[in-house]
Amino acid sequence: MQPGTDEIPESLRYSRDHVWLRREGQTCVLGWTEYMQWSAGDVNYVELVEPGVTLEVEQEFGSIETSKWVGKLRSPVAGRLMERNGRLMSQPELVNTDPYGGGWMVIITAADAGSDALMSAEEYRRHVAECQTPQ
Amino acid sequence: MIVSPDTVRLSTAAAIALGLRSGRLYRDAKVGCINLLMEDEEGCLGNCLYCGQAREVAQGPECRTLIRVQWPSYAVLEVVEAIRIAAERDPSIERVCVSALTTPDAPEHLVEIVKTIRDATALKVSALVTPTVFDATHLRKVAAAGVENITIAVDATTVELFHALRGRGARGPHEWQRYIKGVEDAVSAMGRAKGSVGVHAIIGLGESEQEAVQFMQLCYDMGARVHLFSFYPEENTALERRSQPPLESYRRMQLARHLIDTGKSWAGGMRFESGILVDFGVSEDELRGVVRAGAPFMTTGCSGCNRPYANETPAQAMQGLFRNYPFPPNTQDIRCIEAQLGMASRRQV
Repeated sequence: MQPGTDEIPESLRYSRDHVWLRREGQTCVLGWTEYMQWSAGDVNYVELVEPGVTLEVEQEFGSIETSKWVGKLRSPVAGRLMERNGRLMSQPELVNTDPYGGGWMVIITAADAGSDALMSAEEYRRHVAECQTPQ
Repeated sequence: MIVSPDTVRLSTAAAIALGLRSGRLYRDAKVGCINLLMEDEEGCLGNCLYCGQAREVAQGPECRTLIRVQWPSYAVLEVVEAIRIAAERDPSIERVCVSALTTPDAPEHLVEIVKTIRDATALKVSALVTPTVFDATHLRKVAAAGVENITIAVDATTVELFHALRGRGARGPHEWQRYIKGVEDAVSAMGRAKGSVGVHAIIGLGESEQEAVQFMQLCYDMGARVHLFSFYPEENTALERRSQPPLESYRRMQLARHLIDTGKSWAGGMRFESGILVDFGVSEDELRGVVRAGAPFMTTGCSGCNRPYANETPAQAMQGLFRNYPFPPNTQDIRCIEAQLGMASRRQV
């Protein structure tokens, strides 16, 4: 097992840029995967957009910063951002320590009924393996 | 036991490059130099007001942060083995730099660590030393141990600032004259011809541009090269609330340093108004060419040393606010730099 890949919950869906999504009806909870938090390193700062914003697929819903890296968070679904995890402002390390639990990032009410192009756990496992293959 | 030469601290970037810590670098910056920091049970005897290792900040061996990041501790032999393996797979790693704290045993322990690295790898090795505890004899021993470069972090570029921030004014042990003599001793130990001696200078500690450039010239006249840092406020230090220097001012200092370093100009040929550099002593066309080449704005140091995101956060870098580029600036970066220098709009500096 490669580092950062020992936890890929079967119940979640995954984007190619390592955002997980838990969907119940049109309510989607988003966060960073175990692999991504491991790969990025210790998170120092998380910035999430204000609730109420309507997002398109691939639209930015925040940014995340470690001591040596920074990147944008992009939504894998279109919809309205309903809630953000305020604990991450003061405890960004939750992204590292509890990526599928306390490290969740935002809740989005999806605009569609659930037809997304996200990966299953098995497909994501293969994607991570490809990401780890030296170029 | 937390003490060098048995253990050593690694910069976060170095720990990532060696695979000892997970993480990635913005824009896939490569790490050219593995930076090691010696440690001691008593901590550093220095008390520099901008430094996370200062005696009254670190309070013993505990390393909070230095140059923005944590420095995790490892056994020296583990680090050296990791360096050996990483250097075989990653050609961007060119060098190892061993930085000494101000401790009585530092000279002896640094030589031991340098020898351990030299025995295990073919990488170039640098030593960053403090003349407060490294005298001329020590420097000759460091040179004999096989380092390619010796660097001295003078940091503050005027005697007054040095005294206030590092010397008695800061309840610290360092003395300006001893540091300047240390540079001379290092040049004597390493030889003048190869440019093997470096001097760290931090821009933004309260000096004027004119004072900074005069200091640079002093170093070059002594046979040393200058490596520039842009002040970044370290948390928990006395200067944690001080602002970074204006970017346009830092860019001018980078340009001045580059022109002196490459022999294209000198401090006496530059013109200052109220301490601000207004004429670099070269033609506008030549200056524009130098800027567009991008080299002045890259990290300066021993060959290979690029210190990614040491003087700016990755978020600042993402906004085009790099201080020292850890790689050659691309076309978009050059546009940013030109704008920061006022060249894009006014077509002149």
